[in-house]
Amino acid sequence: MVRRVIVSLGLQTSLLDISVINGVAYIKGKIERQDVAVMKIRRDFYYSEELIQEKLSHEYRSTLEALDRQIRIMPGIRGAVYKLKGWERRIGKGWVRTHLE
Amino acid sequence: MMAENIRTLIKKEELTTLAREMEQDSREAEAFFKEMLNQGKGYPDVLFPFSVLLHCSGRKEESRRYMTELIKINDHYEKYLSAKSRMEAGDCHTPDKSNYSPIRFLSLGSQMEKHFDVLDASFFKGELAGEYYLILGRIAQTESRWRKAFLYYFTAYYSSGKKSEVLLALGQLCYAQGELSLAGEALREGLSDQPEHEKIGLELSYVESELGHFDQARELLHEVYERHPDWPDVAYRLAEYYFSENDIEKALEYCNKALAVNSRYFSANMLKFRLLMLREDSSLVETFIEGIIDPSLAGTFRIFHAMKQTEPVEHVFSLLEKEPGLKQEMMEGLWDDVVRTVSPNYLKTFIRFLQEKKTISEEEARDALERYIRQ
Repeated sequence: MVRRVIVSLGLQTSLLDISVINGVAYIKGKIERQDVAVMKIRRDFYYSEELIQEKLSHEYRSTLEALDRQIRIMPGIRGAVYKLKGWERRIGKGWVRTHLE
Repeated sequence: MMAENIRTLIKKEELTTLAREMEQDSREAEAFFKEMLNQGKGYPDVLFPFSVLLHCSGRKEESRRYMTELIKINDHYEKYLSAKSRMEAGDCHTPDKSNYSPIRFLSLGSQMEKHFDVLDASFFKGELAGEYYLILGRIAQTESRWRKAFLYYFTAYYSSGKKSEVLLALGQLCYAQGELSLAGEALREGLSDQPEHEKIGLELSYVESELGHFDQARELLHEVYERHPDWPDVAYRLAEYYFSENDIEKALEYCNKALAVNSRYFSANMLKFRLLMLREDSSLVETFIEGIIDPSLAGTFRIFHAMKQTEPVEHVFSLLEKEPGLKQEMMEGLWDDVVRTVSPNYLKTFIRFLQEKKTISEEEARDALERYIRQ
Protein backbone atom coordinates (compact mmCIF):
# COMPACT_ATOMS: atom_id res chain seq x y z
CA MET A 1 0.00 0.00 0.00
CA VAL A 2 2.85 2.38 0.84
CA ARG A 3 4.44 1.56 -2.51
CA ARG A 4 1.16 2.30 -4.30
CA VAL A 5 0.98 5.78 -2.74
CA ILE A 6 4.55 6.42 -3.85
CA VAL A 7 3.73 5.24 -7.37
CA SER A 8 0.56 7.33 -7.53
CA LEU A 9 2.52 10.43 -6.53
CA GLY A 10 4.81 9.88 -9.49
CA LEU A 11 7.91 9.17 -7.42
CA GLN A 12 10.57 6.82 -8.70
CA THR A 13 10.26 3.62 -6.66
CA SER A 14 13.56 2.35 -8.01
CA LEU A 15 15.35 5.07 -6.03
CA LEU A 16 13.64 4.20 -2.77
CA ASP A 17 13.96 1.46 -0.21
CA ILE A 18 10.42 0.95 1.10
CA SER A 19 9.28 -1.38 3.86
CA VAL A 20 6.77 -1.74 6.64
CA ILE A 21 7.93 -3.48 9.80
CA ASN A 22 5.61 -3.91 12.76
CA GLY A 23 3.33 -1.11 11.59
CA VAL A 24 6.06 1.44 10.87
CA ALA A 25 6.83 2.49 7.31
CA TYR A 26 10.50 2.99 6.46
CA ILE A 27 11.33 5.01 3.39
CA LYS A 28 14.94 5.60 2.54
CA GLY A 29 16.63 6.90 -0.58
CA LYS A 30 16.14 9.69 -3.06
CA ILE A 31 12.93 11.50 -3.83
CA GLU A 32 12.69 12.10 -7.54
CA ARG A 33 9.84 12.82 -9.87
CA GLN A 34 10.40 12.38 -13.56
CA ASP A 35 7.35 13.98 -15.00
CA VAL A 36 6.45 16.74 -17.35
CA ALA A 37 5.65 19.24 -14.57
CA VAL A 38 9.15 18.96 -13.12
CA MET A 39 10.81 19.13 -16.53
CA LYS A 40 8.66 22.13 -17.42
CA ILE A 41 9.98 24.01 -14.39
CA ARG A 42 13.51 23.37 -15.57
CA ARG A 43 12.65 24.56 -19.07
CA ASP A 44 10.58 27.58 -18.11
CA PHE A 45 13.07 28.95 -15.60
CA TYR A 46 16.26 27.93 -17.39
CA TYR A 47 17.64 31.46 -16.88
CA SER A 48 17.82 31.15 -13.09
CA GLU A 49 19.05 28.09 -11.19
CA GLU A 50 17.87 29.75 -7.98
CA LEU A 51 14.34 30.02 -9.30
CA ILE A 52 14.41 26.42 -10.54
CA GLN A 53 15.45 25.18 -7.12
CA GLU A 54 12.80 27.31 -5.42
CA LYS A 55 10.04 25.97 -7.67
CA LEU A 56 11.32 22.40 -7.44
CA SER A 57 11.47 22.61 -3.65
CA HIS A 58 7.87 23.74 -3.62
CA GLU A 59 6.82 20.84 -5.89
CA TYR A 60 8.70 18.25 -3.88
CA ARG A 61 7.52 19.64 -0.56
CA SER A 62 3.89 19.27 -1.67
CA THR A 63 4.60 15.72 -2.83
CA LEU A 64 6.25 14.82 0.48
CA GLU A 65 3.41 16.33 2.48
CA ALA A 66 0.90 14.30 0.45
CA LEU A 67 3.02 11.18 0.94
CA ASP A 68 3.22 11.58 4.69
CA ARG A 69 -0.47 12.46 4.98
CA GLN A 70 -1.53 9.41 3.00
CA ILE A 71 0.80 7.03 4.81
CA ARG A 72 -0.38 8.16 8.24
CA ILE A 73 -4.02 7.44 7.48
CA MET A 74 -3.33 3.93 6.22
CA PRO A 75 -4.83 1.18 8.31
CA GLY A 76 -2.22 -0.65 10.34
CA ILE A 77 0.43 2.06 9.99
CA ARG A 78 1.50 3.80 13.20
CA GLY A 79 3.98 6.16 11.64
CA ALA A 80 6.83 6.54 9.24
CA VAL A 81 10.59 6.89 9.39
CA TYR A 82 12.08 8.83 6.49
CA LYS A 83 15.75 8.87 5.55
CA LEU A 84 15.62 10.91 2.40
CA LYS A 85 18.54 12.45 0.60
CA GLY A 86 18.32 16.21 0.86
CA TRP A 87 15.12 16.28 2.90
CA GLU A 88 14.21 16.10 6.59
CA ARG A 89 10.88 16.19 8.35
CA ARG A 90 11.23 18.47 11.36
CA ILE A 91 8.76 18.92 14.15
CA GLY A 92 6.79 22.12 13.72
CA LYS A 93 8.52 22.95 10.45
CA GLY A 94 7.38 20.15 8.17
CA TRP A 95 9.63 19.15 5.31
CA VAL A 96 12.90 21.03 5.15
CA ARG A 97 15.35 20.82 2.31
CA THR A 98 18.80 20.16 3.73
CA HIS A 99 20.72 20.59 0.50
CA LEU A 100 19.97 21.34 -3.11
CA GLU A 101 20.07 18.84 -5.97
CA MET B 1 -12.89 7.96 -12.05
CA MET B 2 -10.23 5.56 -13.22
CA ALA B 3 -12.77 2.90 -14.13
CA GLU B 4 -14.36 5.29 -16.63
CA ASN B 5 -10.96 6.07 -18.04
CA ILE B 6 -10.37 2.56 -19.14
CA ARG B 7 -13.61 0.54 -18.93
CA THR B 8 -15.43 2.70 -21.44
CA LEU B 9 -15.40 1.19 -24.91
CA ILE B 10 -13.05 2.90 -27.34
CA LYS B 11 -14.71 5.14 -29.92
CA LYS B 12 -13.45 5.68 -33.45
CA GLU B 13 -13.32 9.48 -32.91
CA GLU B 14 -11.03 9.03 -29.93
CA LEU B 15 -8.52 7.23 -32.11
CA THR B 16 -8.63 9.86 -34.85
CA THR B 17 -8.16 12.59 -32.23
CA LEU B 18 -5.24 10.66 -30.77
CA ALA B 19 -3.65 10.35 -34.21
CA ARG B 20 -4.01 14.12 -34.67
CA GLU B 21 -2.41 14.87 -31.30
CA MET B 22 0.36 12.33 -31.66
CA GLU B 23 2.87 14.67 -33.26
CA GLN B 24 2.47 17.27 -30.54
CA ASP B 25 2.66 14.61 -27.80
CA SER B 26 5.77 13.25 -29.43
CA ARG B 27 7.43 16.68 -29.46
CA GLU B 28 6.61 17.18 -25.78
CA ALA B 29 7.94 13.73 -24.91
CA GLU B 30 11.11 14.49 -26.83
CA ALA B 31 11.59 17.75 -24.93
CA PHE B 32 11.09 15.82 -21.70
CA PHE B 33 13.83 13.28 -22.45
CA LYS B 34 16.10 15.94 -23.88
CA GLU B 35 15.85 17.83 -20.61
CA MET B 36 16.81 14.65 -18.75
CA LEU B 37 19.84 14.27 -21.00
CA ASN B 38 20.72 17.92 -20.40
CA GLN B 39 20.76 17.12 -16.71
CA GLY B 40 23.36 14.47 -17.41
CA LYS B 41 20.92 11.61 -16.99
CA GLY B 42 22.12 9.61 -19.94
CA TYR B 43 20.82 6.35 -18.53
CA PRO B 44 19.53 3.52 -20.73
CA ASP B 45 15.93 4.23 -19.69
CA VAL B 46 16.33 7.76 -21.06
CA LEU B 47 18.46 7.01 -24.12
CA PHE B 48 16.22 4.22 -25.33
CA PRO B 49 12.91 6.14 -25.44
CA PHE B 50 14.65 9.23 -26.76
CA SER B 51 16.16 7.27 -29.61
CA VAL B 52 12.83 5.58 -30.43
CA LEU B 53 11.02 8.94 -30.40
CA LEU B 54 13.56 10.40 -32.81
CA HIS B 55 13.34 7.37 -35.06
CA CYS B 56 9.54 7.48 -35.27
CA SER B 57 9.67 11.24 -35.91
CA GLY B 58 11.81 10.58 -38.96
CA ARG B 59 15.17 11.73 -37.58
CA LYS B 60 16.87 8.44 -38.27
CA GLU B 61 20.49 9.63 -38.13
CA GLU B 62 20.11 11.33 -34.77
CA SER B 63 18.19 8.35 -33.48
CA ARG B 64 20.93 5.93 -34.48
CA ARG B 65 23.52 8.08 -32.73
CA TYR B 66 21.71 7.81 -29.39
CA MET B 67 21.07 4.11 -29.92
CA THR B 68 24.78 3.54 -30.53
CA GLU B 69 25.52 5.46 -27.32
CA LEU B 70 23.05 3.22 -25.50
CA ILE B 71 24.55 0.01 -26.86
CA LYS B 72 27.95 1.24 -25.64
CA ILE B 73 26.53 1.31 -22.09
CA ASN B 74 24.55 -1.90 -22.37
CA ASP B 75 25.36 -4.29 -25.17
CA HIS B 76 23.74 -7.41 -23.77
CA TYR B 77 20.08 -6.44 -23.51
CA GLU B 78 18.11 -8.13 -26.26
CA LYS B 79 15.54 -5.33 -26.40
CA TYR B 80 18.17 -2.71 -27.29
CA LEU B 81 20.02 -4.89 -29.78
CA SER B 82 16.81 -5.82 -31.53
CA ALA B 83 15.70 -2.15 -31.65
CA LYS B 84 19.04 -1.20 -33.18
CA SER B 85 18.77 -3.77 -35.96
CA ARG B 86 15.15 -2.80 -36.60
CA MET B 87 16.18 0.83 -36.90
CA GLU B 88 18.82 -0.13 -39.40
CA ALA B 89 16.37 -2.28 -41.35
CA GLY B 90 13.74 0.48 -41.35
CA ASP B 91 11.14 -1.61 -39.55
CA CYS B 92 7.60 -0.41 -40.14
CA HIS B 93 5.63 -3.59 -40.72
CA THR B 94 2.60 -4.55 -38.78
CA PRO B 95 2.71 -8.08 -37.45
CA ASP B 96 0.69 -10.57 -39.39
CA LYS B 97 -2.89 -10.22 -38.18
CA SER B 98 -3.22 -13.97 -37.78
CA ASN B 99 -0.31 -13.97 -35.31
CA TYR B 100 -1.99 -11.60 -32.88
CA SER B 101 -2.67 -13.17 -29.54
CA PRO B 102 -5.97 -11.54 -28.59
CA ILE B 103 -6.15 -9.65 -25.29
CA ARG B 104 -9.12 -10.72 -23.21
CA PHE B 105 -8.64 -7.91 -20.69
CA LEU B 106 -11.46 -5.40 -21.28
CA SER B 107 -12.08 -7.22 -24.60
CA LEU B 108 -9.19 -5.27 -26.12
CA GLY B 109 -8.67 -7.96 -28.74
CA SER B 110 -12.16 -7.54 -30.13
CA GLN B 111 -11.98 -3.76 -29.74
CA MET B 112 -8.90 -3.85 -31.95
CA GLU B 113 -10.71 -5.96 -34.53
CA LYS B 114 -13.53 -3.44 -34.54
CA HIS B 115 -11.23 -0.46 -35.08
CA PHE B 116 -8.69 -2.10 -37.31
CA ASP B 117 -9.39 0.13 -40.29
CA VAL B 118 -8.93 3.40 -38.45
CA LEU B 119 -5.84 2.05 -36.67
CA ASP B 120 -4.42 0.88 -39.96
CA ALA B 121 -4.98 4.26 -41.56
CA SER B 122 -3.72 6.45 -38.73
CA PHE B 123 -0.88 4.78 -36.82
CA PHE B 124 2.63 3.47 -37.39
CA LYS B 125 3.21 -0.23 -37.44
CA GLY B 126 5.96 -2.50 -36.24
CA GLU B 127 7.78 -3.27 -32.99
CA LEU B 128 9.46 0.13 -32.77
CA ALA B 129 6.10 1.81 -33.26
CA GLY B 130 4.80 -0.33 -30.40
CA GLU B 131 7.63 0.99 -28.20
CA TYR B 132 6.86 4.51 -29.40
CA TYR B 133 3.21 4.33 -28.29
CA LEU B 134 4.16 2.75 -24.98
CA ILE B 135 6.52 5.70 -24.38
CA LEU B 136 3.82 8.25 -25.27
CA GLY B 137 1.42 6.38 -22.99
CA ARG B 138 3.83 6.50 -20.07
CA ILE B 139 4.36 10.22 -20.55
CA ALA B 140 0.58 10.77 -20.63
CA GLN B 141 0.34 8.70 -17.44
CA THR B 142 2.85 10.91 -15.59
CA GLU B 143 0.64 13.86 -16.50
CA SER B 144 -2.46 12.06 -15.16
CA ARG B 145 -3.99 11.93 -18.62
CA TRP B 146 -5.29 8.45 -17.95
CA ARG B 147 -7.59 7.98 -20.93
CA LYS B 148 -4.90 9.11 -23.31
CA ALA B 149 -2.38 6.76 -21.70
CA PHE B 150 -4.87 3.93 -22.07
CA LEU B 151 -5.45 4.74 -25.75
CA TYR B 152 -1.73 4.84 -26.46
CA TYR B 153 -1.26 1.44 -24.81
CA PHE B 154 -4.10 0.10 -26.93
CA THR B 155 -2.43 1.52 -30.02
CA ALA B 156 0.86 -0.09 -28.97
CA TYR B 157 -0.95 -3.42 -29.00
CA TYR B 158 -2.20 -2.79 -32.53
CA SER B 159 1.21 -1.70 -33.76
CA SER B 160 3.32 -4.49 -32.37
CA GLY B 161 0.99 -7.21 -31.08
CA LYS B 162 3.19 -7.28 -27.96
CA LYS B 163 0.53 -8.52 -25.64
CA SER B 164 2.51 -8.95 -22.44
CA GLU B 165 4.24 -5.54 -22.63
CA VAL B 166 0.90 -3.84 -23.19
CA LEU B 167 -0.75 -5.74 -20.35
CA LEU B 168 2.13 -4.79 -18.05
CA ALA B 169 1.65 -1.12 -18.93
CA LEU B 170 -2.11 -1.40 -18.42
CA GLY B 171 -1.61 -3.22 -15.12
CA GLN B 172 0.68 -0.45 -13.91
CA LEU B 173 -1.78 2.19 -15.07
CA CYS B 174 -4.56 0.54 -13.05
CA TYR B 175 -2.31 -0.01 -10.01
CA ALA B 176 -1.25 3.64 -9.90
CA GLN B 177 -4.92 4.56 -9.73
CA GLY B 178 -5.78 2.08 -7.02
CA GLU B 179 -7.81 -0.15 -9.38
CA LEU B 180 -6.33 -3.30 -7.93
CA SER B 181 -8.79 -5.85 -9.31
CA LEU B 182 -8.33 -4.51 -12.83
CA ALA B 183 -4.56 -4.39 -12.36
CA GLY B 184 -4.64 -8.02 -11.22
CA GLU B 185 -6.70 -9.05 -14.26
CA ALA B 186 -4.33 -7.37 -16.71
CA LEU B 187 -1.15 -8.67 -15.10
CA ARG B 188 -2.41 -12.24 -14.67
CA GLU B 189 -3.25 -12.37 -18.35
CA GLY B 190 0.14 -10.89 -19.20
CA LEU B 191 1.91 -13.48 -17.07
CA SER B 192 -0.03 -16.37 -18.54
CA ASP B 193 1.02 -15.11 -21.97
CA GLN B 194 4.67 -14.88 -20.97
CA PRO B 195 5.32 -16.76 -17.72
CA GLU B 196 9.03 -15.91 -17.68
CA HIS B 197 8.37 -12.12 -17.76
CA GLU B 198 9.73 -11.24 -14.33
CA LYS B 199 8.66 -7.59 -14.44
CA ILE B 200 5.05 -8.74 -14.71
CA GLY B 201 5.64 -11.33 -12.00
CA LEU B 202 7.03 -8.69 -9.65
CA GLU B 203 4.31 -6.16 -10.38
CA LEU B 204 1.65 -8.81 -9.91
CA SER B 205 3.18 -9.83 -6.58
CA TYR B 206 2.55 -6.29 -5.27
CA VAL B 207 -1.02 -6.36 -6.54
CA GLU B 208 -1.79 -9.84 -5.16
CA SER B 209 -0.36 -8.79 -1.82
CA GLU B 210 -2.60 -5.71 -1.67
CA LEU B 211 -5.57 -7.81 -2.67
CA GLY B 212 -4.81 -10.03 0.33
CA HIS B 213 -3.68 -12.99 -1.82
CA PHE B 214 -0.48 -13.49 0.15
CA ASP B 215 0.20 -17.08 -0.92
CA GLN B 216 0.05 -16.13 -4.60
CA ALA B 217 2.28 -13.12 -3.96
CA ARG B 218 4.86 -15.24 -2.19
CA GLU B 219 4.77 -17.89 -4.89
CA LEU B 220 5.41 -15.25 -7.55
CA LEU B 221 8.32 -13.87 -5.57
CA HIS B 222 9.83 -17.33 -5.22
CA GLU B 223 9.58 -17.82 -8.98
CA VAL B 224 11.32 -14.50 -9.63
CA TYR B 225 13.92 -15.22 -6.96
CA GLU B 226 14.77 -18.57 -8.57
CA ARG B 227 15.76 -16.73 -11.73
CA HIS B 228 17.24 -13.67 -10.03
CA PRO B 229 18.90 -14.50 -6.72
CA ASP B 230 20.86 -11.29 -7.24
CA TRP B 231 17.77 -9.09 -6.82
CA PRO B 232 17.95 -8.14 -3.14
CA ASP B 233 14.50 -6.57 -2.95
CA VAL B 234 12.89 -9.88 -3.95
CA ALA B 235 14.79 -11.75 -1.24
CA TYR B 236 13.87 -9.02 1.25
CA ARG B 237 10.18 -9.20 0.39
CA LEU B 238 10.28 -12.96 0.94
CA ALA B 239 11.86 -12.28 4.33
CA GLU B 240 8.96 -9.95 5.15
CA TYR B 241 6.46 -12.67 4.28
CA TYR B 242 8.17 -15.22 6.53
CA PHE B 243 8.42 -12.64 9.30
CA SER B 244 4.67 -11.97 9.08
CA GLU B 245 4.14 -15.72 9.53
CA ASN B 246 6.50 -15.73 12.49
CA ASP B 247 8.96 -18.00 10.73
CA ILE B 248 12.02 -16.28 12.16
CA GLU B 249 14.60 -18.68 10.75
CA LYS B 250 13.31 -18.43 7.18
CA ALA B 251 12.94 -14.66 7.49
CA LEU B 252 16.53 -14.44 8.66
CA GLU B 253 17.69 -16.68 5.83
CA TYR B 254 16.16 -14.38 3.19
CA CYS B 255 17.33 -11.23 4.98
CA ASN B 256 20.86 -12.63 4.82
CA LYS B 257 20.40 -13.38 1.12
CA ALA B 258 19.33 -9.77 0.48
CA LEU B 259 22.23 -8.41 2.52
CA ALA B 260 24.72 -10.69 0.80
CA VAL B 261 23.92 -8.83 -2.43
CA ASN B 262 23.61 -5.38 -0.87
CA SER B 263 25.00 -5.00 2.63
CA ARG B 264 23.72 -1.40 2.83
CA TYR B 265 20.13 -2.46 2.24
CA PHE B 266 18.35 -0.38 4.90
CA SER B 267 15.09 -2.37 5.18
CA ALA B 268 16.91 -5.70 5.33
CA ASN B 269 19.19 -4.37 8.08
CA MET B 270 16.17 -3.09 10.01
CA LEU B 271 14.40 -6.42 9.79
CA LYS B 272 17.48 -8.46 10.56
CA PHE B 273 18.08 -6.43 13.70
CA ARG B 274 14.59 -7.21 14.94
CA LEU B 275 14.91 -10.87 14.08
CA LEU B 276 18.17 -11.15 15.98
CA MET B 277 16.74 -9.31 18.97
CA LEU B 278 13.99 -11.93 19.07
CA ARG B 279 16.55 -14.73 19.08
CA GLU B 280 17.97 -13.63 22.42
CA ASP B 281 21.56 -14.25 21.33
CA SER B 282 23.56 -11.21 22.33
CA SER B 283 26.77 -12.18 20.54
CA LEU B 284 24.94 -12.52 17.21
CA VAL B 285 23.46 -9.03 17.60
CA GLU B 286 26.88 -7.59 18.46
CA THR B 287 28.54 -9.18 15.44
CA PHE B 288 25.74 -7.94 13.22
CA ILE B 289 26.02 -4.36 14.51
CA GLU B 290 29.80 -4.37 14.10
CA GLY B 291 29.35 -5.27 10.43
CA ILE B 292 26.92 -2.47 9.57
CA ILE B 293 28.46 0.14 7.29
CA ASP B 294 26.03 3.00 8.05
CA PRO B 295 27.32 4.49 11.36
CA SER B 296 23.98 6.08 12.24
CA LEU B 297 22.08 2.82 11.81
CA ALA B 298 24.71 0.93 13.79
CA GLY B 299 24.53 3.63 16.49
CA THR B 300 20.75 3.28 16.74
CA PHE B 301 20.90 -0.50 17.00
CA ARG B 302 23.68 -0.27 19.59
CA ILE B 303 21.42 1.81 21.85
CA PHE B 304 18.60 -0.72 21.86
CA HIS B 305 20.96 -3.62 22.27
CA ALA B 306 22.65 -1.90 25.23
CA MET B 307 19.23 -1.33 26.79
CA LYS B 308 18.32 -4.95 26.34
CA GLN B 309 21.60 -5.98 27.92
CA THR B 310 20.72 -3.65 30.84
CA GLU B 311 23.97 -1.74 30.49
CA PRO B 312 24.43 1.24 32.84
CA VAL B 313 21.94 3.99 31.99
CA GLU B 314 24.77 6.57 31.82
CA HIS B 315 26.37 4.59 29.01
CA VAL B 316 23.09 4.24 27.07
CA PHE B 317 22.49 7.96 27.60
CA SER B 318 25.87 8.81 26.06
CA LEU B 319 25.04 6.61 23.05
CA LEU B 320 21.64 8.28 22.70
CA GLU B 321 23.23 11.72 22.61
CA LYS B 322 25.10 10.69 19.47
CA GLU B 323 21.83 10.00 17.65
CA PRO B 324 19.83 13.23 18.05
CA GLY B 325 16.94 12.23 15.76
CA LEU B 326 16.21 9.00 17.59
CA LYS B 327 14.53 10.54 20.61
CA GLN B 328 11.77 12.03 18.48
CA GLU B 329 11.25 8.75 16.63
CA MET B 330 10.95 6.97 19.97
CA MET B 331 8.49 9.56 21.28
CA GLU B 332 6.38 9.00 18.17
CA GLY B 333 6.29 5.30 19.02
CA LEU B 334 8.23 4.26 15.93
CA TRP B 335 10.55 1.95 17.90
CA ASP B 336 7.92 0.52 20.25
CA ASP B 337 8.38 -3.06 19.06
CA VAL B 338 12.09 -2.91 19.88
CA VAL B 339 11.67 -0.95 23.11
CA ARG B 340 9.25 -3.59 24.35
CA THR B 341 11.95 -6.25 24.15
CA VAL B 342 13.74 -4.38 27.01
CA SER B 343 12.96 -5.31 30.62
CA PRO B 344 10.26 -3.03 32.14
CA ASN B 345 12.33 -2.40 35.28
CA TYR B 346 15.28 -1.22 33.24
CA LEU B 347 13.01 0.99 31.13
CA LYS B 348 11.51 2.57 34.22
CA THR B 349 14.96 3.46 35.56
CA PHE B 350 16.09 4.74 32.16
CA ILE B 351 13.00 6.93 31.63
CA ARG B 352 13.48 8.49 35.10
CA PHE B 353 17.16 9.05 34.30
CA LEU B 354 16.28 10.84 31.04
CA GLN B 355 13.85 13.02 32.98
CA GLU B 356 16.52 13.89 35.56
CA LYS B 357 18.90 14.82 32.74
CA LYS B 358 16.11 16.99 31.28
CA THR B 359 16.31 15.11 27.99
CA ILE B 360 12.59 14.54 28.29
CA SER B 361 9.96 16.55 30.14
CA GLU B 362 7.92 15.29 33.08
CA GLU B 363 4.94 14.87 30.79
CA GLU B 364 6.98 12.91 28.24
CA ALA B 365 8.30 10.66 31.00
CA ARG B 366 4.74 10.06 32.24
CA ASP B 367 3.60 9.21 28.71
CA ALA B 368 6.53 6.84 28.19
CA LEU B 369 5.89 5.05 31.50
CA GLU B 370 2.23 4.77 30.61
CA ARG B 371 3.05 3.35 27.23
CA TYR B 372 5.72 0.82 28.12
CA ILE B 373 5.17 -0.08 31.76
CA ARG B 374 1.54 0.31 32.84
CA GLN B 375 -0.36 -1.48 30.12
